[in-house]
Amino acid sequence: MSRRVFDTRRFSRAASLSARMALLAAALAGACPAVAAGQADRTLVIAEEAGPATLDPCFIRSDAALLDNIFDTLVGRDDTGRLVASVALDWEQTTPLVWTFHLRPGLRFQNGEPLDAAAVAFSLNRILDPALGSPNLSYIRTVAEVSAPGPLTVRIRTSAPDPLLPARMSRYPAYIVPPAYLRRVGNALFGRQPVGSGPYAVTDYAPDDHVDMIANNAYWRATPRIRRVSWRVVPQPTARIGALLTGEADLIDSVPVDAIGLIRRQRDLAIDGLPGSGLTLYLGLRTRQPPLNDVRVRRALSLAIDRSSIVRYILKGYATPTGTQVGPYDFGYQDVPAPAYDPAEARRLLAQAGYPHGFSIRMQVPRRYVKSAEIGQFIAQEFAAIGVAATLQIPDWSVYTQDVPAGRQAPIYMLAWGSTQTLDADAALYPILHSGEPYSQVDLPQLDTLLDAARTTMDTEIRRALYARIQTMVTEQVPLLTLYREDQVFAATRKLIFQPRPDGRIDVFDMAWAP
Amino acid sequence: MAGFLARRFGQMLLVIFGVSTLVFFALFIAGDPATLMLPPDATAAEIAAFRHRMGFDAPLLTQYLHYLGKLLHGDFGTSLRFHAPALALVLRHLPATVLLAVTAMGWSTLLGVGLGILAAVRRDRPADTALRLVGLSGQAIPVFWLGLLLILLFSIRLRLLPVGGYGGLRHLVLPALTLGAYAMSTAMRLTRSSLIEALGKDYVRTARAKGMPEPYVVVRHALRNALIPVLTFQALEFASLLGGAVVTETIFSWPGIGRLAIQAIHNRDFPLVQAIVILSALCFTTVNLLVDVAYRWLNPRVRLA
Amino acid sequence: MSARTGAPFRGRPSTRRRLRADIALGPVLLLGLALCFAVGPALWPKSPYATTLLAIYHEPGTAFGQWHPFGTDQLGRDMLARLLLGGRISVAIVLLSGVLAASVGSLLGTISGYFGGLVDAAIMRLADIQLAIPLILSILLVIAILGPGMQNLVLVLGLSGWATYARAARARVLELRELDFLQAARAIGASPGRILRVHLLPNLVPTQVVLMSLDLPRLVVAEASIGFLGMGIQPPEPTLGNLLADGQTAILYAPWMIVFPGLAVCMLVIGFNMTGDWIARRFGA
Repeated sequence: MSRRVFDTRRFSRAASLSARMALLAAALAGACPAVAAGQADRTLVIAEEAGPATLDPCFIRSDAALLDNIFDTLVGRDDTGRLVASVALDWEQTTPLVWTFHLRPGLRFQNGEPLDAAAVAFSLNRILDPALGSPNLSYIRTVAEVSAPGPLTVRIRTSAPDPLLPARMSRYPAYIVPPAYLRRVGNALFGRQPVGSGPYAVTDYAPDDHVDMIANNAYWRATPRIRRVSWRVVPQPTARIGALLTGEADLIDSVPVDAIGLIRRQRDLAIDGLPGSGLTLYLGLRTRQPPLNDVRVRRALSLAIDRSSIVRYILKGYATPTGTQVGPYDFGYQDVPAPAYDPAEARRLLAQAGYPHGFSIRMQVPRRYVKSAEIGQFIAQEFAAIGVAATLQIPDWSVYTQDVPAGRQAPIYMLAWGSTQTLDADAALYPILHSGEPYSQVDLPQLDTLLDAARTTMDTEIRRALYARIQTMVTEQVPLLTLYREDQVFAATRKLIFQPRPDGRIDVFDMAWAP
Repeated sequence: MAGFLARRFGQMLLVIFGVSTLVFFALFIAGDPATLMLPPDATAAEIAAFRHRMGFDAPLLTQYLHYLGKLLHGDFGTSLRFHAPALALVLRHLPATVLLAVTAMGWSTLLGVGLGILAAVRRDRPADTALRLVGLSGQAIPVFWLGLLLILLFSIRLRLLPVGGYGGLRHLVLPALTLGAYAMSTAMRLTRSSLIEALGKDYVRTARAKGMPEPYVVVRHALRNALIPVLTFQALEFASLLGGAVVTETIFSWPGIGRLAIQAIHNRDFPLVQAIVILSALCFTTVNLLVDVAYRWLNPRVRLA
Repeated sequence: MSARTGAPFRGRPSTRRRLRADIALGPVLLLGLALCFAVGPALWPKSPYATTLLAIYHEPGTAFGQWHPFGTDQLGRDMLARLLLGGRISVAIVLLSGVLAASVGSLLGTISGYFGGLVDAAIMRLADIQLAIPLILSILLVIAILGPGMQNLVLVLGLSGWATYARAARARVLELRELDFLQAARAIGASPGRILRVHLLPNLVPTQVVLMSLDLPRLVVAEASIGFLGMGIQPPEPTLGNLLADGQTAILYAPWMIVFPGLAVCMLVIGFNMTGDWIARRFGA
């Protein structure tokens, strides 16, 4: 372990100084883009579609990929998706309700504060504290109590047996934060000048504009190979691609599918996609009210959608039509084929359900996912072909994300769901199918029973069987219309060594400049 | 002059007060911020406690007076999205907007006046006709379209300039060009017409009759008076740009007030919107006032009116 | 009155001839566009809504046996059909909101000028307030509160532009108030309502029409900007702004999508500008 640690005062002074110097530095960088300062010192610029509103793990609503680089978690995950030791060297389930984690000794935060069991307990309890109102509480809601019986021993008690507890400790929001620093600066300032124990330390943060980071040379795994990283928020896809083409950005996310051909033609750029690793898109249905309370109507709507054409022509093949919300990298995945496209059968089912002339209905599709507004317009047309007149509305994302969990959305609404936090079917299904969950519009008692059982069963084979039954039941009952699973598509300069991961992490620690 | 100043200043304060009031009630109609600020699964008790803490449960008039009192102390509330003081956020984005607006106004005034003089002197000759066409299209091309065409040409085809972002001179070129195009055309047209008018005035004829060289007549006698309306227009245009060049900043990912405002509206971050609207109204009215004062000072005839 | 029968005119004869060509151009351009947008959607056989997935982003020309002179969009829809309908919707929004702004502004300005005193001060300060708020921000804010849609768009575009009309109307009324016929009307005991309706408002029409023709380009650009920022009328409905927004995302691989709607906006603005100048010359000053 390197002895070098960050002095807090020097660190924060450096941060504010760098804020003041931002213009000058950027001006220099802009004036001479290709300074021959050697590859090692080159700043990695990542242009993202959206940026974080805060860097405090307790309050983030998105952008965990960025925070992964600042903070550590008890458990890690290698690039094949296996859980591995990280801050915790090992862990065991001592009783069905209690897990014990043994920590790696000698770890320190970027400001020199020791990372011990007390820090872990503090970090988790902070999210669990109802007074703070963390929007991420639901991710670790199964945790009842966290204690530190020894300096390197963390004990987590769950409210029910939780087979996913180690997975939950591997990702957002279970990051470990420095208690002393946080108590001193307070929540608001911590969100802007966070300190973690991860491979990179934040030097400058302008909300919705950029986050600049520098390598933590004292990082316990190794010294990061890339020294400086700048995450820039560039919401417009054209501007993101433009930045890549002109060399201002080295790595961009959410590449528009229509631009992939263009990027492939550039010799210095590469497309890095990972099939089936993105979110699974679906049309949510408000199944508690007519006409969508009738399973025949729901099935008819499902049959009216030509999923393979959507994927083939609108998404240019960068997605997979599917019949299940569970992803191929998740535990419990069943290869359920996408429902057939059969408008004639759809019309017959509608007539049978008492709607021979169809009906009118509202549909909300946010402009958030790859070509979602286009796909929404296309699906509205396909619904029209079976007599269902769907009025499309494109809501503002901020309003929509509040309306959906509050139950104020249109009868048909597009949403995407993923399971990157745990890579388990539970995360992909429970929140959107179990009755009473904020994001669920489904009331199927039998499904609830199965989901609850799968959530608390420790035996992997029984769990697998339960998820198989759940996915079959969903195909029969059609409580929502699963559409397709997006591919994650990144584009990067060939000078960068980068590999996308199934859990969507963008770990700069694993990247390097090509020699 | 003192009386005029006092009256105009009073009017300005009244306008700012009016803008603040209007914005307050508009946002009151917009709905309960509690539903936006709390996590979706908040319980009714949590919502009630939150509303009480933020003062949303007080009578409207109390809330309004409280709001005005805070404004007087420079407290514009807290951004819902960034959990930071709205004023600080606006001030942080101000330099970028000022830089862009100053650059755009600078080049458009210089070039617009220069070309306007050329057009006026070469009146009805081919140069004038060509320049009038430029002026007409400059005023007709919507900013975002011009911005996109510039990106298409200079960034994507030629790869000369960055597509967007904030930084050095290279980043400034395209947004400043885009933003200044309209003002340049207007400055040119205004210079041309008022210079032509001035050149027909008696004092210019006298100067010519006295045998002074034509360039001297144009610059020394005619231009001085002809520039007043041009500079007035440019100043007012500049004032409105301080409220954020919304479209230009959005296209070029320029981290100024305009982009901040659009994001705040999209995020329904109403305290931030409130702060931006009030502060840009303040900028606008202040520049307006300065223009009025300068106008009176430069042009004594106005005083008689 | 026409240029030939001798409108007061300064300048050399050559300018005069040149201007006559200019005179014809503005209204002709505008009429041509109006005609296109009015009957175009009915005459052009392709649907602005029908999608053809095989022909997504097809450049101008023939795709799968179909001729698309302006190319196709992100769902393979015919861009010409969408441009014709989009132009029609945009022009309708612009005209309606222009009329709304002119009516509200004229009425308030007349009241302000006629009654004077406190009413005047109140209305004029209201106009100052309106002008102090950045236009596009106030429009977007109101749309964010009320929700997008045709009615709301017309309402907000119209109500955000009343102040200029009110100032002009007030100035004109202050002039008119001193004229003999108004003094006479007042002397015979006409009610303020009658004076307003019969004597003042009709006399405002010429100035306000001139002002409106110069103000419409602003509305064209404002509508396009709102659509461009994604807060206009909801898709699949086309407007010039919506088409430009669609084109903007595709600028890298389908540049024709911004070229034609952008040209349409420019031509509308030039048409309105030149027509405004023309009206001003013929009826104004």
